[in-house]
Amino acid sequence: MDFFQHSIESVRQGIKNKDFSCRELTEQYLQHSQKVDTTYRAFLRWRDEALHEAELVDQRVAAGEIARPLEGVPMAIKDNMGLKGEVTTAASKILQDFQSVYTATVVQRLQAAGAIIIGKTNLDEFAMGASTENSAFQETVNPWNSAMIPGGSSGGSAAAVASGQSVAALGSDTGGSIRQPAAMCGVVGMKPSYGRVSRYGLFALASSLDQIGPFARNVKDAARIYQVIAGHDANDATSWPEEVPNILADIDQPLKDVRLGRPKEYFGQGVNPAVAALIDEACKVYEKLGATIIDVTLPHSPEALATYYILQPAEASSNLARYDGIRYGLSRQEGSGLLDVYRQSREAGFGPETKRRIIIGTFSLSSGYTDKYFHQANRVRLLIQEEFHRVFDQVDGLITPTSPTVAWPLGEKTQDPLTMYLADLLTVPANLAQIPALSMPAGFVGGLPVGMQIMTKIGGESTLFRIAQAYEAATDWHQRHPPAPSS
Amino acid sequence: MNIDQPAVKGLSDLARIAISDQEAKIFAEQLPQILDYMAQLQKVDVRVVPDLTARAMNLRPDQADASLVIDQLLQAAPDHQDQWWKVKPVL
Repeated sequence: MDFFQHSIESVRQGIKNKDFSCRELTEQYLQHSQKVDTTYRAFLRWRDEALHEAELVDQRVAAGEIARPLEGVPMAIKDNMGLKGEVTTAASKILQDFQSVYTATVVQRLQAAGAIIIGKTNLDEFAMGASTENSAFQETVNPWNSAMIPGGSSGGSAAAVASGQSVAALGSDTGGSIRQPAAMCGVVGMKPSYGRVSRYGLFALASSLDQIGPFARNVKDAARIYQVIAGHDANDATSWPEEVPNILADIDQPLKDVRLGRPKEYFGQGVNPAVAALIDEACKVYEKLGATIIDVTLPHSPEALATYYILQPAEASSNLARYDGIRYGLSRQEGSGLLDVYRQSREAGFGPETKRRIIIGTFSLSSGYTDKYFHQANRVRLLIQEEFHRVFDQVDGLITPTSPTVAWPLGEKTQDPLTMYLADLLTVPANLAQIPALSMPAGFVGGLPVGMQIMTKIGGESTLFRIAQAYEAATDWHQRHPPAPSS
Repeated sequence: MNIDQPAVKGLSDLARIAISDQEAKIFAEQLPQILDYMAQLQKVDVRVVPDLTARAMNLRPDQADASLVIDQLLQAAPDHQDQWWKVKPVL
């Protein structure tokens, strides 16, 4: 079987027409994945329950029930979202044996829509990183070149979809953790507006920035998954009560009258000129499609990264205080007092990057530095939000590279955290501004995929997917797949 | 920004993480670099701007429900007694 042939629609049709049963398909995906993943190491574990869940889909089909939006679709989930009674680790030793006591809202919604969760994917510990090398358990490789990183932090989900091991996946994006690995692995990855998708059951990293979103091999599949997971959830107080518009309804509308901004700050310093040139080519494609390209400026963009790397560790240091060796997770009981349990459990359980960020966050929240760092960063964040707000009076969407570079060699940046942070240069602004953003394939540099990032105003998901779909329909990047692994 | 090894140890104490001398040495080299990069924000001319994304929180009524997972939560703890987590002496 060609595992790249399947989309959400082809799986639904195949099951409906009885070309294959859901159980057969799930079994094939599990077997294929367990075989090829010895190369990619995208999955932390597979779910045997998937086969039983697939049988339930087959029973529904046999009973003539109407197919649900994701009926029978094999999907993978980043291992920082809970499934009740099953191990969820966030790729951290401190949660190595942790079993979730409830299921994340997004996973519940996928399952209620008929998706089959075949396994949990690798990530940087607690989703902190740009290469997935901060996982406590394994190194995931880029399916296009196994000497290269897959991006991060959702590198496992990106590699799983890019290598045909699952039709689609979920990731989480705090500063680019869906879009950047999607770019590096040559797939579509989308971060919704903050508040559009419930964070209930997602292990909190930086609560004012975190959003869950889809990975897929084409724009419409990503839109279909977004449609299922978006919407109000009473269990997340930041979730929006408004109805989610039907994204698929307008997705094929032509781009006449659409104005797209090219923010010059995203094409300059720190961005590989070959990557920037490909995105300029994409702008020409948009002009041919009837859109108007307008040069715009977002002058505070260069400060977005510093803003992010103050706020994110500050929020993370607070969120990760819960991992203390008392209520769950790894616990070191050798010392004599309570404080020893905290200190030693956290020393043994957290990896170097997690410790580094907790300490940076502790610094910027400590007495004497709060105003200079944390409060100042919050003020700059508001300026960045205002700047996006203003630019979206002029244009409907923004076109930029997703990542300043293509994937780099494994190990190249692990000893130099600041250089690793610079990889997030072009993705963090969308999180700070809480706007939706999507990365999609836009060409290759040196045989490695390049991603184009599209951003729209807050709540502008319909326009975002429509802009993306028009480009995909005019190009064939999404039809290219990485070579089969050499066994 | 100068953060030497004793300062790193002080921060890790605040963060409740024991760190080795070797780790403190590495962090004392890395943190000043990172914080020097962050220092560019000091130069930004911040005007007072409204928070354009602020939305009211959608709070639920604060009512206690019966919890169905107390046993599971207690099982996950390294030590418990009856319905309580058991911890080492605080003082």
